[in-house]
Amino acid sequence: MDSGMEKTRELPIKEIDVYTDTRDILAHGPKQAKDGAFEDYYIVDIDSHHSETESWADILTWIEDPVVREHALTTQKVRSGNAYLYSPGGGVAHQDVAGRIPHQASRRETVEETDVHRDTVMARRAMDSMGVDHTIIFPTPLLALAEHPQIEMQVHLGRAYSRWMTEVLLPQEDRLKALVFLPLHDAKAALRVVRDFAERPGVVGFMVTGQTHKGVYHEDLMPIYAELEERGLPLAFHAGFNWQDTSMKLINRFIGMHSLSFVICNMVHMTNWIINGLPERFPNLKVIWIESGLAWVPFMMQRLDNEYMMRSSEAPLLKRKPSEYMAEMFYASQPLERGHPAALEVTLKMINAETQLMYSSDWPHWDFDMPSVITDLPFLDEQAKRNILGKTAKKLFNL
Amino acid sequence: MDSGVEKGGDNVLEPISIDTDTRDILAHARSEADKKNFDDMLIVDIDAHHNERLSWDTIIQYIDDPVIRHTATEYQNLRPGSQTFGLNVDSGMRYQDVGGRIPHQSARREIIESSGEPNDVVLARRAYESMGIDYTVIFPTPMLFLGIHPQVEMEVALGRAYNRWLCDEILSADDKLKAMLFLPFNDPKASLEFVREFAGKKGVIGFMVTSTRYRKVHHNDYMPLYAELQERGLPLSFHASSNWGDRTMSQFDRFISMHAISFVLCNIVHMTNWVLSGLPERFPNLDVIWIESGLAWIPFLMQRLDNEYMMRSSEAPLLKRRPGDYIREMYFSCQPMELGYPKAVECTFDMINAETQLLFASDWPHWDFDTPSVIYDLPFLSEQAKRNILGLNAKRLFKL
Repeated sequence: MDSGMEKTRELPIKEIDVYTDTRDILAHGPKQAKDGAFEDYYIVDIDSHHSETESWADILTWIEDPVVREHALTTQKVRSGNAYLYSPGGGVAHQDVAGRIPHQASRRETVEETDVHRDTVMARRAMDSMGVDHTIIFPTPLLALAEHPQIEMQVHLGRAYSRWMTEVLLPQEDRLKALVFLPLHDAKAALRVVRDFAERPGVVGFMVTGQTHKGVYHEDLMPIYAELEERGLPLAFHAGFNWQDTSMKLINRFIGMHSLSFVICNMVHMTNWIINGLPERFPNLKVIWIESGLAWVPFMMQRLDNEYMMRSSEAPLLKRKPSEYMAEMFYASQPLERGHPAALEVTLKMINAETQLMYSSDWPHWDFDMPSVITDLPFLDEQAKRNILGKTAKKLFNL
Repeated sequence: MDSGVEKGGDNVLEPISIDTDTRDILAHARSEADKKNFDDMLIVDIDAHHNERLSWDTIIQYIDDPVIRHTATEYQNLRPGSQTFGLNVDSGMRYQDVGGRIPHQSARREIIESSGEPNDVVLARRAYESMGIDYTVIFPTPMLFLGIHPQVEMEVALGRAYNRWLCDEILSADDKLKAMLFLPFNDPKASLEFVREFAGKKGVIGFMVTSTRYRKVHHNDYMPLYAELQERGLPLSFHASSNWGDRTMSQFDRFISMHAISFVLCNIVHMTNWVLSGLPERFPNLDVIWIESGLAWIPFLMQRLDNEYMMRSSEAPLLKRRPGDYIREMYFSCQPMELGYPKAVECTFDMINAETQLLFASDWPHWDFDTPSVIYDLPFLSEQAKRNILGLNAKRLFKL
């Protein structure tokens, strides 16, 4: 008897694993680009990652201090894994959902090109698949470096990575840019990092990892902010997680910890930044908040304004409400929480998305976003989409 | 020469001090209540505070254990000026009153003529009558920090003494006063005993966990407690507070910063654990209330958890719907209402189903308290929604 239903058909589905080529993983990208007509958009991805672990043995050779370098290279040689890379999240990092998000676990695709670094080839593949013109490239485990118990290692390893990045990777590809790691726990060293790296080609600003356990209002840090403001270089806060934190230890699943920890770190720095009047002290310093999503921003705007209006004497440097300063900062879009469209629309209005929001993919991490997350938003006009996808970043970073 | 500026009138501002009568501090609330006919509406304030420190000498006499009781009594007798026995609140860093600029917060020493009634009852009545409130759910103040007392047995001993005192001397003295009793949550078995001992006593309408603590709400040890509460139809509430000593919070250099985040973070963590561990599926008839974290955090958390859940649902296998769908079925107290962005507030109300899930709370007499006008004045709410939030939702939930 005919059920009236069509018979099921087998569709060939390509299985993704850690060996799959970036272009195959992102095969929908070019199709979306044509369908969604963002093919002709100028797109800047302000937060994409590479995995420095694969180049760690090379990076260690860029350590300046001969004793630390010798120690690092020997350790790397005699121990398996990347023994000299501080990675506290290692054994509890479940980003790939036990292999269900296969490309996250590692990237072992074949790269035949030998004229440039493997990371450059893979970054090009991703950019081309997503229709991205410029990518700001970030490290991955190094985002935990500010938790390294030896502060001098934050300086040594941070500088080694930045030297490698600016001398090996960035010169190979004009489309790649970087925000250089600032070892904020050592204010003098951080200032030296700004002076040493600010003018290197491809450097478009500096970056603090969210899991930095230091009040950003500390007087020691003022010369750094002054230097950045003077040079017209933005300061970015890139979120990270710390499952060992007192509150986070209460959570028993990666999903819960990741939902919160990636936001709380930036909530703390944002609060300190505003309440201590840093926007008034450095009115021309551009500040960017990366990889905490956007839903936290309206929460913080409402919460801080409400408290401020009741006890403004605790934030005597402010001349306006906290949210007014927040609406002048810059935000990276990923991961764009899209489950509640009405809330997202309110959010984009509150943060002045048309001039302050910048697209970011977070590729190749498990929760990455394609440019279509912006082009698909029904309530944005064409100009706003173009700004968010590239023009705002072009202006901010002088691309 | 005429400056063109009118001379100041004869309006003399009554300075408020710690000696000012509650009714004078709340004089505007009374006139608003008259103007808006609050006396014709059922209004329930699900979170007002008294200061148990003032009755601490009496409360410690309710401690069961004779050794702890003796220690407490001697401590109170012999150490004038030092901290109250067992109350581990960080009193040296409490800037709620902004150095005396919010004067009624510092202390309340108004005159109460002896009538035989406990002072707490008289003070609560002055407040609820001024605001046009019919029922007040009363909470302690420094005890909100007992969850981080290093001695778990102290949380049990003091919590039980307080609950007994509250039932015997306060709730029995005024029908309009209700309480969600303190649970010594660091001791799951004692918490269950508390429910069995106190449920059914006059004025007891539920139980309360103080949110500042480092226990996992999804731990299996708590399941009998939740089952018992569900069985008895008694709500469980999480009352926020702060902990400046927390590793994350210790990065703040100002009270305003710590207060803005810490009062929310504790409930964000417990809510995340509650939902992702599937407790709404395990206890579908247990009503849960989130108190004193404001409202702006809820849309943040709903969006954030939904977004993560849709990408990795296998980590929350008990859920049949999105996290936000469960959150919409919980109850929330409104204070402190973040009112700066009307569009955002409207969006929040919509997302949390405020019409059936939101409960008015004043947090009186704390520095950032709200009066019922905070709900009544919202332009986007229907008359029915206002009545629900101000009282009818609480009446239904607490069977008042």
